[in-house]
Parts: sequence; structure tokens; C-alpha cells
Amino acid sequence: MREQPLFRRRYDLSKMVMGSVVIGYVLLLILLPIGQLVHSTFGQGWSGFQRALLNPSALFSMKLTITLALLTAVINTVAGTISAYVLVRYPLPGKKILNAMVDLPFAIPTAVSGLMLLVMFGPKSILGGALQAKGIEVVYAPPGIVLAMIFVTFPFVIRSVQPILEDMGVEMIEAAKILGAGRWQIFFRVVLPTILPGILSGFTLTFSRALAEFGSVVMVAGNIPFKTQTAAVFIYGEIESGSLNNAGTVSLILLIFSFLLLFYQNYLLNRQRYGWWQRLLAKAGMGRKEKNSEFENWAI
Amino acid sequence: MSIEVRKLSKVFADGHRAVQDVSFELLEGEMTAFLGPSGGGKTTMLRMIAGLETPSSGEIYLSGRRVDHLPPQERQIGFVFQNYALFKHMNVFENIAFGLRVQRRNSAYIRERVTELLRRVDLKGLEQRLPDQLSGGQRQRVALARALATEPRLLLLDEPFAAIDAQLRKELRAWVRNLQKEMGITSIFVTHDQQEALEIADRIVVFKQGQVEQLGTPQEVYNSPQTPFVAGFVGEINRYQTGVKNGFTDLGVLKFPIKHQEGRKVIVVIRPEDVSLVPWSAQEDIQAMVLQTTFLGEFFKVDLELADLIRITAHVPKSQGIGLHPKDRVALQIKAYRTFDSSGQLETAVELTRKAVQGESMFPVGEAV
Ligand SMILES: Nc1ncnc2c1ncn2[C@@H]1O[C@H](COP(=O)(O)OP(=O)(O)OP(=O)(O)O)[C@@H](O)[C@H]1O
Ligand SMILES: [Mg+2]
Repeated sequence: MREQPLFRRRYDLSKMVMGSVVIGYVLLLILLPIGQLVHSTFGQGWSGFQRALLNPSALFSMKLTITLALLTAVINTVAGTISAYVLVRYPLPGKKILNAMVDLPFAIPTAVSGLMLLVMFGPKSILGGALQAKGIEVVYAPPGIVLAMIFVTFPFVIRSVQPILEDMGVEMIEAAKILGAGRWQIFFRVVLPTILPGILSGFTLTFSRALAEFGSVVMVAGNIPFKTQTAAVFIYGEIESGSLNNAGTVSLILLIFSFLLLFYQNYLLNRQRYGWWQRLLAKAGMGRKEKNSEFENWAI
Repeated sequence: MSIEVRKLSKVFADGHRAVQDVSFELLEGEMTAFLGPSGGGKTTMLRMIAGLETPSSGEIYLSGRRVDHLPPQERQIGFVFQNYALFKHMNVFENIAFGLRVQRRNSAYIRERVTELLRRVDLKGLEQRLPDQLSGGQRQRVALARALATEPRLLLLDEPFAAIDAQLRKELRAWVRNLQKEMGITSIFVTHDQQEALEIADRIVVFKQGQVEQLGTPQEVYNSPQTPFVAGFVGEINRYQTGVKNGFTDLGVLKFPIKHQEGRKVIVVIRPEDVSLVPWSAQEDIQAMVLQTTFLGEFFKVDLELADLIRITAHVPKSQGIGLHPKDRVALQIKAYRTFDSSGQLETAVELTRKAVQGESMFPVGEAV
């Protein structure tokens, strides 16, 4: 490093400014509100928290949300993996357009997504009417919630698997072919293990996003306690009726889930693309090491 | 396993003819080199034999059985890819065991076979490493062991030593050559490097723009090239384009008898080592002046100018080259040459114009006497 004081001071200033922007941002927008939430929720002590947690409708809403979000994550993981595979490997006509359309669920406001599902499966539509005639409830019922969650989270798995598949190329597959592996052996022994980190990461993202989904769910399924009331909808309802304690408690549970998933995502999945499990076992400590994308100084 | 290819062609979807009408036959247990410039169709050829590419036309026979309709899984071939294509998520052991696991061999057999291969390729103790924790040479050996594990009848190697430094490269190819001989497995390897081909191949197939220019033993290809291209690609040459005049090449002092029609264009090819420098005496010797000498380790490369400003390069022994300086005047003898007609067909075979002059009598070659 240079010993010129002039430069040093400039770097220090920019370091301070940029550092405080990042830290301030995190503090103001994330940490403070979370702290406040914890503070308010425990305003009536541990017993208040416990009471709110064991409140049957709160319990039901959480169970429902977790179950349906899991179901959604499983469905989208399978469907998304297959879609990614097809998008990368098969010479489909109009593949570019199809590929661009995958991101639509991210772009459409969730309330609009919910509305679309509502008109599609509502009793007045042909499809909805036919289903209802057979006694299958979709809207204002759990299937509607799952549909909404699936729709909103569809891109996650595709977008986490696709780049790995593209990166993988065809050489390993050709090598496996020559070694005698058939189609399914190639998939299970070569392709799947390679894209597994992407699949798991997509699964986590889908699950946490589905847990949190509000707009489309409330559109499709409404707010029926002990039937379609998900955690996010429950929180909204409790706030409306002025019960901050109940709302805060369920929010904290959702937060804990998010944190756990985030932790899992960052520390287990993203560490290494290949062989992360072996490496994790081999690695003793995780000291802070400079990455090669980092500047030595804060020189911009 | 012997291999025969008949009139094989490959036209890619974009209309590019990568391989055109190629036929050859390779014998059981031999090591064959596919040699040729970049884009010559060597990889395409290899991939068609392996079944990774479908031929546009033609037939491939392995041990007399037609295989070009079979998928790669059923051809019993081992393939070492240029970039190794190791399974990145599997450790060394699992990479080598892959073919055996696919065959559902029992685990005791797999363990035994992989251990045996690890010993052969000298990688014992690295079983648990992932491919990206290995050096290039180690990866190369893993790829080789993986290809050999299922006891293929034919081994294909696509530029197996290309990404390795010169020293290791020499070791590895000698080592692969020994292994191949020991196991008696028919092999084909692709290379750009004529030295490599001459050194370890039993036979060489020279490719140029999707066609076979020549097939032969290293000696045949080197000593009797059938086209100027082969002469230039395998070894170094002096190349002259000229005409026929009075039954001789029209090259001033480089006058060689030629049967070709008067006035036709011909190509004369002379290898630098077939040019020897001799004492300035005999009448019929060709006189020359030294332009430059370059020390190349085992020999000197001497650039000379003949009468009529024709230039020629000679390779001379160290002991002789050391006494030569620019502007020195010497005499030279052409020990062998080849002439081709302008379409590249061989016109006159190698001719020994004179016995090589041996001994110290040819040294020193000093100023004009
Ligand atoms: N999939 C493809 N589609 C179109 N053209 C191709 C394809 N693969 C190869 N080619 C073309 O075919 C020709 C022969 O290619 P090939 O890879 O066989 O050459 P090569 O002799 O192996 O060259 P190198 O020594 O550089 O590896 C090249 O001109 C290449 O551009
Ligand atoms: Mg090639």
C-alpha cells in the first residue's frame, strides 16, 4: 500500500461514507424494525407471547401456511427442474419467448395474479364451474392457495437450476454415455448431483416466498379462519382488529423461519457449487478471507 | 479390435463438410495418431467412431461388425476427452468406478479394479480428491483410468496431452505408450504435434480439410510423404515451386532430372537434414554462402544462399555448425529430394543423389579455397 497521506485520507473518507451508508441502511430498514417488532410483541411478557402463539386460529394459520408452502415448494421444485432442463437441453421452437415468459410471475403484481386465478377458477368460469360440479373446491379453499403460491414462486427453481445446467455443458453427459450409462442413469448419477445445489436453493427460495405470500392468496382464498386463513392473512386480520400482540407473535415465527432458511441458503448451499458437503466436513473454521472481487482499498 | 472406416463423411447442420469421404483400416493392438492442422476434422472423426456424432454417410466397422447405427453405450469404447470431462461432483475413486457402477458390478470387484487402476496410473492416495483439487496431469490420468476401467476394446484419446507442460507431456506420452503396449489395446490419439505422432504412434493418419492425406508408419510418412502438405506438416522442408526445362527442374543450380512434361509446374521438396555441407572441392557440388546459423540444441540450422539467389536451409551437426559464420562459402550436396506436380501428386520418389559424406574430411568448411 502507498504511504501518501493525501490518498490515505481520501480512501478513509470514502470508506467511512460508503461503510456508513451500507450499515445505516441495514440498521434503519432491517434491524430497527425487527427490534421494534420483538419489543412490541414481548410487551406483555413471555406469557403474552405464549398465549398468542397457542391461540387456535394462529396455530391453524401457521400450520396451514407451512404445509401449503411445503407442498408448493415440492411441486415447483419438480416442475421447475423439468422446465429448466427442457429450456436448456431441448431445441424447442420459440424457446427465447418461453424463457422470457418464465419471469412474468415476478413482474405481475401479486394482487393481479390472484385476480387472474380467481376469474379462472371462480364459479362463474367454465373451468371453475366444471370443477365445482365435481365437488372440487378451488377458490376460497386450500387448493386456491396452493395455486396462488405456485404461480407466484414459479420462476425461482427454474432460475436457480438453469445457469448450472448451462454451465455444465454436454461433456460430462457424453463421457457418461461412452461409459455405458443410459438416459436415466445419466440423469440420476450425473445431471441431478450436479444441479442439486441449484435445486435445493430454488426449493428454499420457493418455500420462503410461499410462506410470505399475501396478495394473491387473499384474493383467491379470502380470509376464512380455520379454512383459508394463512399466516400472512392472519397477521393482517389481527392488525385490523387491533391485536398487535397476536400479529407480532405470528410475524416473529415467520421471521424465524425466514432467518433459518436464509442461513441455510447462505451458509450451506452457496458455499461451493460442487462438493460443498465434502468441503463443509473438511473445513474446520470459516475465517474472514478477502475475496478476489474485493478492493484492497475502498477505491470505488 | 481392428477398425475400418469406409467412405465416411460428416456434413454439419450449417453445411460445413468436416469429414469428406474418408476410408482407412487400422490394425488390432496398434496405436494410431490422427495428425493434422486445426479444423482438419480429427475430433469429428473420433466422435463419429465413438458414436457421439452421426455420420452423414459411410460405414464404420469394429472387428468386422458394423457399428455406425449403434449408440455410444454399445460400442465398448474408451474415450479420453481433450478437456477430460471428469465428473466434477465425484471424487477420483467414483470417477474411475463410474463405468463399473453402470454395469452393476459388485462392490468388491469395483474396489479391486479401481485400486488396480489407481496403482497403474500412479494416483494412489488421491481417491478422495475432487477433480478440481487435482493438477492437470493428475486429471489426465484419472480420465485415462476412467476410460480403461471397463476394459474397452478401443481407446480414443483427443489431444490428451495438449493442456500439459512440455516436461510432463513427454513423461505422460511415454507412459501412455507403455501402458497401451502392455495392455495391447487398439488406440487412436489426436494430435497437432508431429513430434508426438512420430514418437509414439505405430501408424499415422494425416488429415487435411476433412480428408486423409496419407496413412502410413511414422517412417513412411516422414521419409516418403505422398503430398507436399504431408512433407511440410511432418517434419521441416525447403519447398520450391518451379517449372520443367529440358527434362530438369528449372531451379538454377538445384537441377534435378524430372520425367514430367516440359513447361509444367512442379513442386520440389528437400528436407533440411538431407542437405549436407561438404568441403569445397568437387566440381559438381553446389556452391553456397552462409547467411545465418541458429543453434537449436541438437543441431544447427543453417540458412544458405545459392547462386541465382535461391535460398535453402540445412540442418548440420553441432560439430560442423559451430565453425560456420555468415558470409562463409561452402559447398553442399542434396542427399534426397522429392518432386510433386502442381496438383500435389507425387512425381519423383526420393532419390539418393549421392552417398552422405562422412567423417572429419568435411570439416572445417572455411572461406573460399
Ligand atoms: N457442431 C459443429 N457444427 C458445425 N461445424 C462444426 C461442428 N463441429 C466442428 N465443426 C467444424 O468442422 C471442422 C472440423 O472440426 P474438428 O473439431 O473435427 O477439427 P479438429 O481437426 O479436431 O481441429 P482441432 O485440431 O483444432 O481440434 C471445423 O472447421 C469446425 O469448425
Ligand atoms: Mg479437435
